[in-house]
Amino acid sequence: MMKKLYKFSAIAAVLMSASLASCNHEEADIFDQNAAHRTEEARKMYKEILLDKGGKWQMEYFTTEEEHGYVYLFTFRNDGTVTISGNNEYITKLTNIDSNVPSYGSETSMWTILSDNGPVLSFNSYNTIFHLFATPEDIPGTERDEQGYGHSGDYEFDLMKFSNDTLYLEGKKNGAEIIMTRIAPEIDDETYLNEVVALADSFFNAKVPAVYVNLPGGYRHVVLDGATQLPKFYPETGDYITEYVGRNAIITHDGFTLGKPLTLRDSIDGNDYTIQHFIRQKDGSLLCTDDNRITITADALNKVVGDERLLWRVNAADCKGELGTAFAGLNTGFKAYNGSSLVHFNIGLNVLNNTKSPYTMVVRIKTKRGSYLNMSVPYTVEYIGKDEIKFVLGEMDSNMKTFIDKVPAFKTMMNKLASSTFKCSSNSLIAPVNMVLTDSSDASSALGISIQ
Amino acid sequence: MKVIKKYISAFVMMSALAMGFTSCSDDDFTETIFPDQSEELDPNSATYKFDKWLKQNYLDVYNLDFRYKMQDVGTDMNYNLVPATYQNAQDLALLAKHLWFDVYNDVVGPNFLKEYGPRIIHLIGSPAYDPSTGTITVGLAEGGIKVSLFRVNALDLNSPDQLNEYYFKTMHHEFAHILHQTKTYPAKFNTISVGKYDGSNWQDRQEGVVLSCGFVTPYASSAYREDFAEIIANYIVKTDAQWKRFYNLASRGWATPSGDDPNAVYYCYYYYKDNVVDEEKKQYFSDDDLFNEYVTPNGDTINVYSNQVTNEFYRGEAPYTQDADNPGKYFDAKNRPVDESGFLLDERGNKIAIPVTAYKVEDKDGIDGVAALKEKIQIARDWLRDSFGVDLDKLREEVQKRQATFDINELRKQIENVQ
Repeated sequence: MMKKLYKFSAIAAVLMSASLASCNHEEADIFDQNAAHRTEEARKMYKEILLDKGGKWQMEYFTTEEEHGYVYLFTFRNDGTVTISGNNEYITKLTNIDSNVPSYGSETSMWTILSDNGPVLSFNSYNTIFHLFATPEDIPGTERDEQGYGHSGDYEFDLMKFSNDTLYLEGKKNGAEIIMTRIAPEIDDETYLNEVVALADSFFNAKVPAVYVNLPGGYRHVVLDGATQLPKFYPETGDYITEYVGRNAIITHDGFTLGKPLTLRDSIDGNDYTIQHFIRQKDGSLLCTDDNRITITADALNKVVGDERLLWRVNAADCKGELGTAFAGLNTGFKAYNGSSLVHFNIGLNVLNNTKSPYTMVVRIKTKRGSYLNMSVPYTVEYIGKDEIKFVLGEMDSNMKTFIDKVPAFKTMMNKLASSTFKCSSNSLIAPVNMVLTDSSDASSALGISIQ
Repeated sequence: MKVIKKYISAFVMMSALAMGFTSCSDDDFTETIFPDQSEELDPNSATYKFDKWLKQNYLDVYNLDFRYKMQDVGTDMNYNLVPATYQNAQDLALLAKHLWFDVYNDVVGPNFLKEYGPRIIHLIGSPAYDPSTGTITVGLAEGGIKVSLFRVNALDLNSPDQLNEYYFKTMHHEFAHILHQTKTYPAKFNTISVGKYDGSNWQDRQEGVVLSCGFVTPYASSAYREDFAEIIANYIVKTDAQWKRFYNLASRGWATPSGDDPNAVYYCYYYYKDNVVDEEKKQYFSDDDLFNEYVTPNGDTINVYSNQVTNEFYRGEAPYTQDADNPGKYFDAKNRPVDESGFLLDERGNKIAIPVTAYKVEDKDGIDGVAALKEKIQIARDWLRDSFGVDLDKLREEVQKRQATFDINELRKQIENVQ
């Protein structure tokens, strides 16, 4: 026992001498001010940032990795109030538990910047529109049981960084990484958020069967379930079941962002590429701003037109020139023949399954007696480059041959389609649900078609 | 374990020694390292009037920080909680003053809550759910100085029962904790329902069952101290009619046909199907409204579960005679109408069915629930009087009067007109 006491005394003596040495004050301070003052300064700075230029911000709000993100708008005021607006299905459920359609809501509550270990943005009075992801009460009308857990959403955020009118935050309790971007103060919340909801369809329209991440080397990864904002990615030549990687994502007013970065292998150039942030381009495609080369689009437009899974319908309003004239003449032609009228003209998937060809051009007419008839012409397609397509008419049965001979307008239309190649164009390369087929030899002649 | 303890002690000793020598520093201690947090109220703030009212009515009077803007660091981070709405926070602050602080001020004296009242009241919008047990916390008292009131966002000013159960009762419950954390209550209290506490499964126990054991609520049966706080809080906020009901339930025996099932439903009455006394024909029921006295045609008074009528019928007393003036009409020996088989008939000519007889479940828990409740109240009454000079009955009378008559719109004017 005595030995031990000696030992401790010796150690204590060493420490004492060390502590005496610490009376030397020559070491320079690393910071000009103490931690508490620095935090207070940061608190004031972030308050000014949030209130500056009208105080209006867009938040890309995430809860857990299993849930997609939600766009919220905040208008901060110096009196401590903040108006928070959103447009999502949970806001709908506040008033209608049976509906899953997103709806707009806005409410004013309180905000502050707290000094904790660092500055913390806190929404410290309850806001029905925003705190619904944090409240531990069950939300009626949802499949999951939220009671006790809620959606693990945060309402206090560590303020991490400010750069280029963008605030980087981290959920204080659950740790989700959140971005806030300054937006113009004159923006109308409801209009803006309605546009965001509408963008979900324009990015990932369920009618378009496949969307791809196009890597710089030329390899593609398929994007599945983009419209749910919980997309799954897998290599085009790979296996979905064993190779897919899922991410939560958010559709914003300007583009599309993954909750966390995702690295994809380009099997052609052998490189790995990391993607997370995409902005919407004029042509409707999404450009990855992490790389500025990677895009998300549907397949090449001519391939989309020729996709065996799709059925297209000719839109009279989008037809012009000789093709427009030929299409407009169909109705007159049928009337002249037997008093029937054109109902519609479909191209693509052979839904009637009445020929061996996977493709048919089908004219549906209504007879004088009120019954309906479908006239089918089988065809195959040839792809020319990335955006041209050629329709090669197949063998018609004898009834069809007779019919087409008796309705010259129909014959003219089919000959027009078979005699040229067509340049495919759309206002959206990612959701080309509406397409224009322009005669490659006559730019004034075009046929408008839409996916059914 | 001993070895670890020794090394820790040694480490503490040496560190203290070392720190003692480092204090030779000539640092200037005249200025705090923390920034001045005592912000003046900002007249431009949207919450200025409320903040000023809180300052005038809580901080200045009771040195009490009434926190309605939530900081999660001020809560238990294991729970998922959200802030209170601004409007509900104002209403609850007004009600807490009217039904708690002002009552003590009037009944006990202006210095009582200054001395014993909490130093912090923290409002939280949601309940604190514990998904593992399915329980919720609606109030907390910590260290004798802080009271947290939960579920503020569900405040319904149109529901007196809800206000009473979740807010008013919680205020007095948590304050009772603060008081007994200051001066302990008599140990005798803990012996009254001894052996009947269940800290793990109290949430599955039924009101009648626990009342019969002398607990005013299932939560009271979770622990001695909760029992003590619950008896005070319920005595103060519950009306005479509600207490009459408590005593009624407490006076009964309770049984369940479901054996040891923790979620079993307990009943206080039973009957036998068709009045055949056989355990297999035993049926339990609880609904008081269906429990009536019934006078049989023989003049006996029995308890019946009136919804249960058997297919057995009363027989008259033989001999049966036919009315000579009215062929087809019969009477028994007591001249009561019967049918040709001798069954008694009611005024409409229908046979009178024999109702089932209902029985009270025997009270086998070994505790006189009513006496236990009354004894607990008496201990609380004596303790409050002797330790704090508080007259529990006067307190109750004043609280009940205010609970029944408060006008929230009138109270709100205090904030609107704050100077």
